[in-house]
Amino acid sequence: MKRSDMKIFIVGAGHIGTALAAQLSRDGHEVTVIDREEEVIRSLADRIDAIGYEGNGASYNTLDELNAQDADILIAVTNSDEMNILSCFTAHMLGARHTIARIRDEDYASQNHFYKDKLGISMIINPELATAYEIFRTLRFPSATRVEVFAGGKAELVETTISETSPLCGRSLIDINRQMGINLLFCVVVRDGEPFVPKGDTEIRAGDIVYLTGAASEFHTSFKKLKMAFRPVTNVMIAGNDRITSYLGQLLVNQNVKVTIVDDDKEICERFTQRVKKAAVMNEDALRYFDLMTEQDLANTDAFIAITENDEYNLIAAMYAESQGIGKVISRISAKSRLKVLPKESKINIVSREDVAADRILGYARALLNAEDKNAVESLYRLMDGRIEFIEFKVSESDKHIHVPLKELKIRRNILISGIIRNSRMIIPRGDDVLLPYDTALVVTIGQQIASLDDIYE
Amino acid sequence: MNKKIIINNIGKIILVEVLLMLIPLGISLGYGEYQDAFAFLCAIIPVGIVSLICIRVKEPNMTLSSRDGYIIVAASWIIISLVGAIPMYITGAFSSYISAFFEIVSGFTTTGASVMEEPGVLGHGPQFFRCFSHWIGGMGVLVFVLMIIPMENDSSMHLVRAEVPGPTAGKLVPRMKTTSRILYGIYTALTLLLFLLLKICGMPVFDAFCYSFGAAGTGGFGITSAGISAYNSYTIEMIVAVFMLLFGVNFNLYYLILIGKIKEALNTEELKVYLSIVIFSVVAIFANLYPLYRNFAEVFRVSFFQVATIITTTGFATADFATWPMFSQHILVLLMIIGACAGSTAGGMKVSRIIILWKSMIAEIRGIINPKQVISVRMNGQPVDKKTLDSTRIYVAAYCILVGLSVLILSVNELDFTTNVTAVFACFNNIGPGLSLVGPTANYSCYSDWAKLILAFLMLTGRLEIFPLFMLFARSAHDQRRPLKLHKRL
Repeated sequence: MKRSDMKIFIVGAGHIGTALAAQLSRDGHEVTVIDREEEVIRSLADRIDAIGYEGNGASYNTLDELNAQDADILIAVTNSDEMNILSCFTAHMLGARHTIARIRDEDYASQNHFYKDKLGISMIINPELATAYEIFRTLRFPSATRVEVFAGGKAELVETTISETSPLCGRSLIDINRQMGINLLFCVVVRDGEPFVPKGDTEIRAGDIVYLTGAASEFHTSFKKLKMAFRPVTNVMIAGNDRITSYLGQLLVNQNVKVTIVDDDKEICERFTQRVKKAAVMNEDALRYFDLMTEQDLANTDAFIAITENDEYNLIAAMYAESQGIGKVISRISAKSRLKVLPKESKINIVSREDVAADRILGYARALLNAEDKNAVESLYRLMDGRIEFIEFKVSESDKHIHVPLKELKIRRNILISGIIRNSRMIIPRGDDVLLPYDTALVVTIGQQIASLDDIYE
Repeated sequence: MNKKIIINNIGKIILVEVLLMLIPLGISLGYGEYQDAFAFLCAIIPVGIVSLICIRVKEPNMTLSSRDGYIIVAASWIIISLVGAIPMYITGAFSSYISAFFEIVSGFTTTGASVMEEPGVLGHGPQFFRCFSHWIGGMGVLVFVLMIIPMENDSSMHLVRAEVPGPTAGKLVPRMKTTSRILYGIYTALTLLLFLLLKICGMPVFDAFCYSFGAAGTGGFGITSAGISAYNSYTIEMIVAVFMLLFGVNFNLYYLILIGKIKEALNTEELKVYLSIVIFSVVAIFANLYPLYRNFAEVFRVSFFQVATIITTTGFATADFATWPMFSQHILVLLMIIGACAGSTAGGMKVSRIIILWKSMIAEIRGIINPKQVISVRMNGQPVDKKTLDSTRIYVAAYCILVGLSVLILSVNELDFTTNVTAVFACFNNIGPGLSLVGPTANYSCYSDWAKLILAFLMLTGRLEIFPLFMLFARSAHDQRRPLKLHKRL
């Protein structure tokens, strides 16, 4: 495989750093993790095939000693912005090829260009902002549990759970395609926790999680036909957390969504009133605020988002909101084990700031590593903890099997070409379609990782 | 405990052993010793089939816990010895299967203690296998397996930690596989160098291979009862002595030298103390022996070789040190306990543990004098972390208890005190020859079969540094379900 054996340094072995190290090491890269806490490093080296160093990842001496000048990518994801900037800058000056920094502070983030051009930081990730965007996208499709954008917004990937009342229930894919006139591709079905690529005769059942790809515009019309909520939310209530809330609030307010922010800290509330101008800010505990709401208030609320720092609180608030009949409920969770509390039929969406950041960095890192490859990975999304991957490849003239109809290709099990983007238009691939140079191919893989388009063939 | 993953991994390890047995099989065929070849085939075919079946046992979620790692290492060392004993027993050179088992455990653990009065009776194939087991066991069977077979999980560190000698185990480079390759690369290069030098000095090719493997793994099997002194060559003995000392150095240092950090490599505390101990012992034994023999070159030759062979726990012998003056004998027994550096192929308690113990003792005394003073134990200028400190102390405590108990049990065999104590030290520290009845000119056939089993167990315990083997027998390591059941009842 081409995309292996890169030297990657990760500074900061927190939640994001650990997730990145595990995935990148599994991809076949040489991963070195630097953290100040000895205990963190020790436990990391037990679980991940990477080397850990106890030390200051921003210091010249440490980086020099570890030969960071040979690094293909250095990713700085400690808790401190300054540390991350310094670490990336030092590594860049030493000769590291790419650097990625997690920078939260808006003051720094607004000087994006300076960091990229002058300090040589290739990518800046703000986990809170990325999470806010992620939530914002799912709010646009209330019946979707996740929405990802491909090819600059031309194509979308939507995750949704099939409810018992859905007209899709009990129909096979051929049926759905012929009779309902839906121009979307069912690329993955997750049934009882097991993902698989559905065939034409696969019947959709209630409780399935399905992943659909298609042109962005197609989703609206198709979801309308399926009687799934497609109308963007108009009235959103948000509980807690400083940064994500203000980013999200701003995004929503700009779309003329009515936003209510609830927090029990008076000072934070005051800050919100300045940051998110048109939002209604309530200084009250979210759970207590539910009691104060009339039925009319509840009926008017389309969505509730719990993003306080406290996982347990978020879950309780989200479950309460769901029980009160709020259509779309999103909860922020960092410790995944807490999710076992949720009843199976619950439709609460889970968002983790750390996962969002890790996914974004991973996608970017892989794209960087493949930049010199002919099969450039444009973007990549991991779903279900990495068991499913959606990858966007650029097709080049030297690729094998171009100009060959897809039905004649031998594609490996559990891999599917789920979309072709040609001349800015999304094509749902059928048996007679072919891949052409300069196309973008969307490939979905289950339980395996591929480096280039060539890897999908048997 | 994840049984499937354990079976799968052990299967892989046995498969590697079976593949390695093809080499002595080829040698037996090459020398026309068909009976020995048959003995190897008797082991290779059935065991090969079993290992292939084991490998088919798979589990989708192949994550390895630290407990699984320890159990895999301990169980596979026992199993490879049981398998390795099969061809040795079938050749008919051993009185019982247990004797053959003792011999091959002694091989894999690089002890070099033999039950054979005249090893020369063995054919070339079994002889080679016996010495080759030193070479594989020296660097570690698991490390070898990790190098050639892909492990489908990220927690291979647990395997290495259980196998690599010394208070701490680390990687040289991020990937475990590359780390094993580097280690085995250095190891192979040094072994080949030794082989070439021995060849140049006039040793026959086959003998040179066997002795290179023995010295590299710090094992100590001789291919005749006379061992290295049979060649009666000053240069051969000096070369072997120097190489034994080299194989007793932490291999990480060679890696540091390879990547150009020579100063850092030479500046480590363990290396300095190790060399100081060697120099001190050579000088002391020399001074002790000189008045008796009055031959400068000869006395230097025997004292240097004996110190090198004992401190690196190799166990080749060119002199019957059991007849030496008491002072020299006592120095050698102390060297047996100390052993060489951590991260080398040698056994023993390891110089770094001795340093840590010594320094923590000093720290304790200073702490009593100045109760408010904050004192940290340092190695190479870096403070030793608490976990390493604790595990070193516990290791030493376990070491003492185990030695005491073993001597007590062996005493039932009615041999004298010196024999029992030095046999326990020699086996536990993977050296080979002890004193008195198990001295350099004698062998372990004086012990009965059950005592040989105990000694074989001691060799394994010593090689794996006590805890992995005890994990096998700890009930809590097997019972994972019990707390869950209890929970359900509530």
